[in-house]
Amino acid sequence: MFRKVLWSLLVVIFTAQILAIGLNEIVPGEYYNLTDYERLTGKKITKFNESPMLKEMVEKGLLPPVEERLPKNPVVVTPYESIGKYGGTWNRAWYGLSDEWNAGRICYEFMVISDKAGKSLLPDVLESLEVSKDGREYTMRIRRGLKWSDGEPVTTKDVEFWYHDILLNESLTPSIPSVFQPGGKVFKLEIVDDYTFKVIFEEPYPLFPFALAGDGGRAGIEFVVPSHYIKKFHPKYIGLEQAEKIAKENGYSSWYQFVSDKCLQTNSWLVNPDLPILFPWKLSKESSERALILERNPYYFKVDPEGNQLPYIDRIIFHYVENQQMLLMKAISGEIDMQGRHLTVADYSILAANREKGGYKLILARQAVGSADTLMINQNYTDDPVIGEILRDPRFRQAISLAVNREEIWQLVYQGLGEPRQASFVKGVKYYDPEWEKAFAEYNPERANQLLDEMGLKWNPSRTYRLRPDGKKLEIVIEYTTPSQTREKTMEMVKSYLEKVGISVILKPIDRSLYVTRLEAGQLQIGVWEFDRNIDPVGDPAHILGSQWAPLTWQWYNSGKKTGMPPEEGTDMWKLYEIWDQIVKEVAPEKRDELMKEIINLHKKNIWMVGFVGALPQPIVVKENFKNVPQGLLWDFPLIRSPKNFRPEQFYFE
Amino acid sequence: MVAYILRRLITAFITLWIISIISFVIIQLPPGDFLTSYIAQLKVSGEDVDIATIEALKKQYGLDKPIYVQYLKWLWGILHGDFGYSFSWKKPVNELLWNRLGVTVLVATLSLIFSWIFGFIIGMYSAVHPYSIGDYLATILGYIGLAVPNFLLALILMWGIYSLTGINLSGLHSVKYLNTPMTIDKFLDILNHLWIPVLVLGTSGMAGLIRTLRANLLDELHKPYVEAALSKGLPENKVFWKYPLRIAMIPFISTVGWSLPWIFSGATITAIVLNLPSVGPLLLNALKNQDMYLAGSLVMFLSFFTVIGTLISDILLAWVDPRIRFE
Repeated sequence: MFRKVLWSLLVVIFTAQILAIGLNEIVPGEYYNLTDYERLTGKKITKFNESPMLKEMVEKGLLPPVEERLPKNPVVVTPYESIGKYGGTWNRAWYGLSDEWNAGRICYEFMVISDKAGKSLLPDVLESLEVSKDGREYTMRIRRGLKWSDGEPVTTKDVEFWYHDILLNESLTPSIPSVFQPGGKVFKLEIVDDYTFKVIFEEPYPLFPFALAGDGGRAGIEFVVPSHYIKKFHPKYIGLEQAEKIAKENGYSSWYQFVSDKCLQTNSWLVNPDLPILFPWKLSKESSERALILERNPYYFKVDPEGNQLPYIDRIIFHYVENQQMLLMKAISGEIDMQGRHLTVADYSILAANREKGGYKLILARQAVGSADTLMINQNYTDDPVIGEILRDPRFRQAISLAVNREEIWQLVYQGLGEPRQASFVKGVKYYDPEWEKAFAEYNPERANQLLDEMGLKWNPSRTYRLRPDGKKLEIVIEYTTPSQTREKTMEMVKSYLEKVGISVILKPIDRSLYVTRLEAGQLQIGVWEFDRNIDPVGDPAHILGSQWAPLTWQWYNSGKKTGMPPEEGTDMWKLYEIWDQIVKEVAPEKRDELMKEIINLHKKNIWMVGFVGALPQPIVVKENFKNVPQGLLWDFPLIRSPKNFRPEQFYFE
Repeated sequence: MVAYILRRLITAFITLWIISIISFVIIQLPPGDFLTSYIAQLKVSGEDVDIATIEALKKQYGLDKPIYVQYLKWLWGILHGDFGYSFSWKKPVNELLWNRLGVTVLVATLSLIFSWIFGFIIGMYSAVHPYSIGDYLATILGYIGLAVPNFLLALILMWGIYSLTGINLSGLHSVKYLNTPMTIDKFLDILNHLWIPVLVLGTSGMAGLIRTLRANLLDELHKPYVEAALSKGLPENKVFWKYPLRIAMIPFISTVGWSLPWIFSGATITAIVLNLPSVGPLLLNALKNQDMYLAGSLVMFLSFFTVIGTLISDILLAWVDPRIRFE
């Protein structure tokens, strides 16, 4: 009887947990706790297998058996097509350490992780995550028996160390990231047992789970860090003198520079082969500048439905290339096994033409990009007050949008790939709105002219251009960087359309660091950027709140409303931020969605961003014998971190 | 002679010091620093860094300090054999430099030898047989070599080979020989890749050589002193090797010093096109990323060799040309 009561109690707790994270059906390419997988399928996984190379090491006594290396409740990954085979080397190309996310997006694990489409959260390092009703307390349980890549256990000791000795250490964290201090107060940590801990915020923080699946929950950097390793260099444990000495010996001038560089940065795992990690692959000692080599982590905590420890592929080699053309050359000559990164729609025809020669197929993903080349019309521009006023007039922005022939750009620049549309959320994401997609997106130069006439922008006597209210020639500067071959062409066409309705345009391609510097100083009149990250506007609102089209206001918001430029009261931008303040605190998801609709309505009317062509395909080169790569998935960041949503650990060579 | 060399050494040292200041200032001229360009790069590839992290990194890397402090720190390091730390590679600059130097010197030396041997033979031939068919052929070859930019030639060769055979001959060796010890097969594979840069870099050097040597020799061959020597019965060969050739080589020797930095920098654009792991692309990337210490050290390194090269040129010149005895 007692046992029965206890059991039903356990079941109740259990259901409460899976409400917070996880899926209730089996879908290819998703992650399940072993217990959930067995409950959902009725199948039991009792025996675990491993790669032959690890088996050999176990037999020689160099590694403990696979059952001891896996956690008690490992993650089950359901493969996209079929159960794989062990072995092989996956060749890719990269631009060196500054391209760290080339490797990071394949390997990085999080406290919880997004499903492949960015719609719900799945368990990852955390076996379960519970939220209190008021949205203030988060109870997290680390997978029992989870191990770092050197075999040391992951426990709440690591969490405690991170909180007290890294996050609250002023040398290592001079300013605490805003995800950990909503409203300016750092959360409190409460350790429950070896695997359970609580994170307690002063005020409700319903967006925290999104942060845990992104930059607030990076395994190895946040919440769980390899404390047994970092303690070897931390002055609290070895004394300041010793810590400084180690740093000096390694060519650093202070201990915190050394610890930060070798242990705590997003690319530390790519420069320090000794750093314990939780990823499917870890840095090999054979690595060099010419080629970054990753090899399997024998303690990786994920298995396939037959109990085979993942990943299937032994090694990944990232070959260093100087530029994109060389990367393309490698792809078409068949030297790349699978890669989408750094390939764009502009490369589509050359990639398609050389398929047979290179022995690969082309798989297309859908970019969650509302518009690839988007005019970001700066609402904070003040260097020339007359131009500033014009840019802030919604009629001007609508006129620009109406004056451009998107169909023509789509055909001529993008060869009919993707779709002509306004800068708006793409189909397939949560907040897709067909009206926004069409808002002021038709080609209607008469109406554009009408709107400009209404604004009082008169033509010059010979009717070649329009005049500003102060009588000077109306001339707008559009500045952009050139990441792809399409942007320059698109902008040339946009210029010719705008000049037809009397707006003279100066095009200024500039270096990207200059662009960022000018953008952040509010000096651009119109900048050009991608309207990407459509998957998770609530977790990552940079674009909808104006990081590109009102950069100073975005700074104001980000600095806790201290520096930067606040929005003028009563304006639509002011309303936008008012609504956003509510969204951030809103615990009920339905209410949050309604508020998001209001935000979208403001965008529909104001057209702060003018887009032309979006929802482009992302070409991915995949060798004929490279398996389990799905067609048609969404491609985005930061939430789904493609190709992480393709589940690289279940890729295999036939 | 010793005093001359000493004086030249002192000026060389001062030149280097001034170059170090100028290069450090120039690298700093564009707005932002390594971190802004790093962030911009991340943004282009879709990642983001939050403001707090950037501020923390700035402090850690010492980028919040004034430029002269950064400069002095770097200079102090150099005087102790430490070239500083590359932000973009997270490695000491020394290490990066040595890793790339081998390939750079190998490629450059081979192409230098190639262009000298062929340049000399063809140049002498066309001077001795002016306006013959051979001379015209050499002239055409020379003009093509001069007129076609190296990187274009490299591109054409690479694309030609790819479309004929489907093989990518960029880089130093095939992908499968990465991290394998040197074997006969690997050596042959390297040679198979190496001929493209040697040919590309060699032809342009050769073209210049042919033209210079031919023009100078033509001038010299008909000067009275040659006629006089011939009329006195000296064998034609001996006259040619001993006098006109020696004079004709003067402009050549005075520029030989420049090939020294060229050997170390490699031809940057060609190296980029061919994906060669040499010093040139490293410098370009360091400049693009505003990777101060790496860029500064590379500029210093190349200047050092230019200064040394010029010194060698001057000494050689003084030795070859009796007319230029020091003051």
